[in-house]
Amino acid sequence: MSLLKDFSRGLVAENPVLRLMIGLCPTLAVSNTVINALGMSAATGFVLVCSNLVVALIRKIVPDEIRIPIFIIVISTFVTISDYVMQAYFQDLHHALGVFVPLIVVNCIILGRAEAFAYRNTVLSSTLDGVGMSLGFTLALGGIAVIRESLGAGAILGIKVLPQALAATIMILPPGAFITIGFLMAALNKLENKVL
Amino acid sequence: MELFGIFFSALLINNILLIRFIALCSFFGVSNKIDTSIGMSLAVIFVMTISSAVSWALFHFILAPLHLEFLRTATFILTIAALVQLEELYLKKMIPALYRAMGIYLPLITTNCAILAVAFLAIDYRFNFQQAMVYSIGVSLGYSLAIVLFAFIRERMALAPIPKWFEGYPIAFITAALMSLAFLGFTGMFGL
Amino acid sequence: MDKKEIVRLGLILAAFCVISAGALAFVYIFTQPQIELYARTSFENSLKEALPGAESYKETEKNVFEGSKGEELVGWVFLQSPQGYGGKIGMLVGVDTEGKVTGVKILSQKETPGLGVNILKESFLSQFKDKTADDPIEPKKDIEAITGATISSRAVSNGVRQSIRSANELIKRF
Repeated sequence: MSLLKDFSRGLVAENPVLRLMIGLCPTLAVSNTVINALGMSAATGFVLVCSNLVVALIRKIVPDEIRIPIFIIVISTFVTISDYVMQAYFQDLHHALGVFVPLIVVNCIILGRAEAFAYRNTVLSSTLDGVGMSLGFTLALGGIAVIRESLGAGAILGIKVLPQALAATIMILPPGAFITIGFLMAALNKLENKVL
Repeated sequence: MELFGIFFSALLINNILLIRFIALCSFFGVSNKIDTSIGMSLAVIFVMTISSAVSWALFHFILAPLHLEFLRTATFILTIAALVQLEELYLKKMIPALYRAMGIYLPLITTNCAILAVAFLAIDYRFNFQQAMVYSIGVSLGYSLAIVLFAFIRERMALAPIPKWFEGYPIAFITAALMSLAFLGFTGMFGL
Repeated sequence: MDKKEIVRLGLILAAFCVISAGALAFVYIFTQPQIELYARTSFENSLKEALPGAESYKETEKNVFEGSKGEELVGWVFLQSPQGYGGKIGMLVGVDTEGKVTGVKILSQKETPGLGVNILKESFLSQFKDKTADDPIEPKKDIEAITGATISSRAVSNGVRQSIRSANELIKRF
């Protein structure tokens, strides 16, 4: 039961992007197309799950005083691995995501989960927490990308959803990212107030 | 002319906050008051200039000759974290007035992705040292411009009637969208 | 904190650095050949798209690639970087020995998503095929510009026109 909770926490209740307001930069920057959003989520998820797993594994041998530098070393190792693998096998995606791949290292979600959860919990719950948080991130990022791409380009993954004349290019330009998140948060506020 | 282009591209056309979407956490986090946004801006200008100089030198004089480019991410983030600590100690001792103005923002800067992003971008764009310096000054001034303007708007917005569901962050995002739209107008300006 | 403790912490930190560097070196050695292979073949494929008739390409001058089939010279590929709306557009233009455009390939661009980015579309690029020095090659004349992206369209046209001019100079030398 508690394992299930470890997993589901990141999905909605503590959704990193929409609830905790962390990991905003990649959310806004790479949500212009669904494919970029999924690629970014995959890379971030890989780093998050691996670093949670490793941090939980080594938590007994890491002295308290130097835990943060060690977390950073662990995280940056996985970030570099995903950077190289992407560059070797998914060149177009790597080109589209650009500097945001190495910047995963400063994504607050990852260091935050290492410090707040993985350092204090077992390997199994930490891994589940990582998977849950990654899915929460994917959900938020993918959702925003679906809204932006369908309104801005009129098509998702090449499938037409809107007539070309109705597509508003602004939605896939930078301001569109701010507009989408602003309205999404307002909608969440309204929903929350209704429930309460 | 080329340096001029790099500078304005970094300052306005590719504004790091409004167009490139880097360091947004601080953009929304410390823009409640004009004072805090100015303090943060000072800290960013100071740290970004120094750390991009150090990381540029580190990459071109140590990592690249030794073919250790794959240690770039780890090296840069640890260097920046260490530099921020040193700068904090130095300011506290030597320039207390400046330390008081931006002291509490310095530790926050380690997690400010703009610093790391500029270090990476200066390498990716294959800038020489001079270009890298002009670029990082342009980026940090662009950061300051955007965040201080945003803080001015948010202070006035605190007094304005806002639809209930939009209070707080949602209206801040809409405001940022309008600012971003304005900055988008700079595209194509210098043919950059 | 006594000295012994500091040494111990330092050693642990160093051990983590070594493990991490080792893992990264492994991944680097593993992925590097693939990354380099991709960079090389993708450029070669682009040359081929610009000048399909040739089999081998040789850089004879800066940004000029001579394409030949066997012993015979087929044409040239020019690497151009005209100024677009969002930045420089990196493009390859192939011209045959009669001064006719054989193909245009965009390598890199920073044009506006949804508007200027449409210069990548085949329907736009194919208009340049078979153009010669006798054609104006200008948007709104013989080239249909992309809606809302006149500057981007003009930039590509400039790159093509420049290439034909360079090709004609090379042809004169023969």
